[in-house]
Amino acid sequence: MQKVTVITVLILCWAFNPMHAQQPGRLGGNMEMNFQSYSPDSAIGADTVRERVAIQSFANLIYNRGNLEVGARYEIYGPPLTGIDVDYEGHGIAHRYLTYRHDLIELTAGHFYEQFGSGLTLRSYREWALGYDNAIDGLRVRIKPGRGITLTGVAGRHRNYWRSSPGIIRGVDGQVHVNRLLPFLEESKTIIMVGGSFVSRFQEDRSLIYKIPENVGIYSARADVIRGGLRFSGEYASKINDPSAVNGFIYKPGEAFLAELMYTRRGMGITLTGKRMDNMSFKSDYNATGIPLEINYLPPLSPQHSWELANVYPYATQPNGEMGLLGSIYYMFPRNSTLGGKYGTRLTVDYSRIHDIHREAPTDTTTVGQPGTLGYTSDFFKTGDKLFFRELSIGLEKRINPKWKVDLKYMNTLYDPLIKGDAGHDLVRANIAIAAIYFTFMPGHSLKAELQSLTTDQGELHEKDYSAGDWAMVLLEYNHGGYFLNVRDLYNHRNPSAGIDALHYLSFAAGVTRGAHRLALSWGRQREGISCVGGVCRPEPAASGFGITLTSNF
Amino acid sequence: MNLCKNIIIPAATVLLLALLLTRCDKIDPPYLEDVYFEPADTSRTVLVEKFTGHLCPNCPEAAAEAHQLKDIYGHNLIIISVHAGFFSRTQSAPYDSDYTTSAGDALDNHFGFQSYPIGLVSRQKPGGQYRMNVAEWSYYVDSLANDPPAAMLDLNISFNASTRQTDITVNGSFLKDLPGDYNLAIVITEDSIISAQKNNNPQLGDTPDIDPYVHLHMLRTAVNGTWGEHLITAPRKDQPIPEKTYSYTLKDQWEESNCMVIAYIYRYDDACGTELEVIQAAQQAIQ
Repeated sequence: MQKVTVITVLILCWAFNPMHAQQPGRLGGNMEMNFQSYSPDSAIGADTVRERVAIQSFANLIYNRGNLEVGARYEIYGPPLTGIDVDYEGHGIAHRYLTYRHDLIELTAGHFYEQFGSGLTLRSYREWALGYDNAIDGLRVRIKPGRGITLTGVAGRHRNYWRSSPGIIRGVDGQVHVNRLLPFLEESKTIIMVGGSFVSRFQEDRSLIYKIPENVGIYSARADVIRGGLRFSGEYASKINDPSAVNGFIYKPGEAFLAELMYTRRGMGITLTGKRMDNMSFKSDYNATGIPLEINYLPPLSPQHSWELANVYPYATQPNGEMGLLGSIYYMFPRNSTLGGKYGTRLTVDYSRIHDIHREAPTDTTTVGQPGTLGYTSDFFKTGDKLFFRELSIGLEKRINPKWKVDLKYMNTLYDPLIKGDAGHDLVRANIAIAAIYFTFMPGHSLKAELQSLTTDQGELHEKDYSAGDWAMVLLEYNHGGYFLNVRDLYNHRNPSAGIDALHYLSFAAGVTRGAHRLALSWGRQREGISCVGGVCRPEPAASGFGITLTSNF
Repeated sequence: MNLCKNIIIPAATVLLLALLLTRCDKIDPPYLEDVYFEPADTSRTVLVEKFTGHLCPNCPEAAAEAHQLKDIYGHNLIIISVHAGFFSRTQSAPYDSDYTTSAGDALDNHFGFQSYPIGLVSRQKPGGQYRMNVAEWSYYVDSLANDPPAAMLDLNISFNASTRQTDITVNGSFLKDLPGDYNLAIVITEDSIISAQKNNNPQLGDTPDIDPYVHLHMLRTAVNGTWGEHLITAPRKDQPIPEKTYSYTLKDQWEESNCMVIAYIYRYDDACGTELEVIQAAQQAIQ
């Protein structure tokens, strides 16, 4: 850490050196601060938090001058909010880098985020709300050797809380815009882009029991074809043997296929996405479990929702195997039509279905998934017996007049609790209905009312599950001139778990937004559940207390 | 020239990819290492403290790993299963038994574990952290078991079946000059407790519940407190371990023939508890 601080200070000294005063630069950044107090609340399963309060915050500083950019981020977790990994506890400069940009080359030394293609081989990113940061600390070179060609090379180690990953990541990616590369296609109405990448991890074999490959590689090929409103994109990736704690130390190679067909025109859009993932977890530490240290990213195949009760049963990507389809349609009934009315009506329909992959024992003497074996064989085109997730959602957005607007949503969800790690439980069938009504009663003053309902068919549960059962939610929010004030009651009116009675989760929130700054205060109960972003999920413990969130860009 | 630029550079890239591909390590069967351990005349005994709970569905995997290691290292490995934290809460039957202990809770709080299963291997702190994922245990167990020991620890037990009083005597000697302060901790564990256990791995039993499940090495109590008591400061080579004696009356519900007494000496940095390495451990059956 001391070395990091010295390097950062040197970079900042250079950046602010008065010798460079004739070339004025630009300093910018952003920050966020989250504060939460915790009161024990046995009724909702909120345990005592020893520290009573948690605070976590970051500040990014980025300085640009000419072709150079330097940046650093200071983070403090004292301690982190509940649900965020306690290994973050501490403070310091978690991220620092220097980037040089030119027409032909871009060079970054230090921490950086990067994605190859759709991320099947490499994606490093940060999600503050999840407590996820797998920035690579190393070197990145991006060159543009010719028209339409971009080559990227990376090498380094992942950030692992306040340490570095044990594995070293090396990768190259090439992206070719075919129309720019080949002059005779320059005027073509069909746009073609192709790409490929290769990433490998080196980690010392320290297993006593298994023969661990020290160099594990993953490669992919991808293509994007666009013509008018039609777009096809697809990527295939393959990984060699990578026994790990996630896959139970099996040696089967992994593979992934992702394809998307999209058609859009004014007022309408149709998207069909299919994917198959087989043993595709790839981490910079073969011993690691959970969400940290992912080298690659497996995109989710379920619609993302922002409504509270639509997220009680969120889908989490199953890295050991899944295959499924997602179809999405939106259609805007035109203005002044029977269904469109004066302002038009937007209809959205999403259908998602995700199965386990097919698996068979590799030999007569081993079982499926047996550690220290190939693990299984799998037919690429066959689904497994297990249905992980199925969801149909229908949404309608309608402005009735200049003052009134309505959003309606209905969802029918089938959810296997195995998704969140609870094997052997019955499938949950949930029906969710949501209505949001927006009313602008005078210029600058508006009200929002949300009514949500979730019902399930769950039978009696032995264990306590504070997310289970039937829910209702009412939210009222007033907005004026950047201020907001809301009150929300989330009501678990039937919980099949033994020992949990009907419970109200009452909360109040208020805040103000001024330009690029936002302050929000909250008080009340937060339900136990799962928090997901892009198919990556972490448990969210119940909490009761007072919260402050401050965000600012400068 | 453009052709060269547009053809040769992509070709070079493909070549680079091909070169990188050759660096992958393909492993052919058999995938398992031939593992054996030959203890020296005086060996270091490794202590694995496995943090678990009956509601933890991934914990049977950790128990299986611990047993695999126990098969290899025998007397040179001692396992303590600490039931503590979120996954050890009691619920309706069959999860209505409370296996937590005040010592286990204190250790769990001290080390700040959040996700289970997790463990400590002789309270080593590689990379600055105590917690070790299950898959990391074997490496550290092996490297420590092959370390020359810093102390010899003798443990003598006397059990009175009528009063259930257990008299424990600890002595031995140091084999190296050592810096710092050292504590001696004595705990009692019990094997073969039949109860339910959550499970996610069909390889290891029924899902979601293995019932009955045989819980092994369960921490029952810390005889001389969670952190034990101060033993010695800066011991010298060949210096005897100050003899310590303890008496403890076993609870009626504990089956004495399944109970073990475990003693361990560990570095105790009183300032902030940052150095807690266990330098030697010993165990003895009560009967």
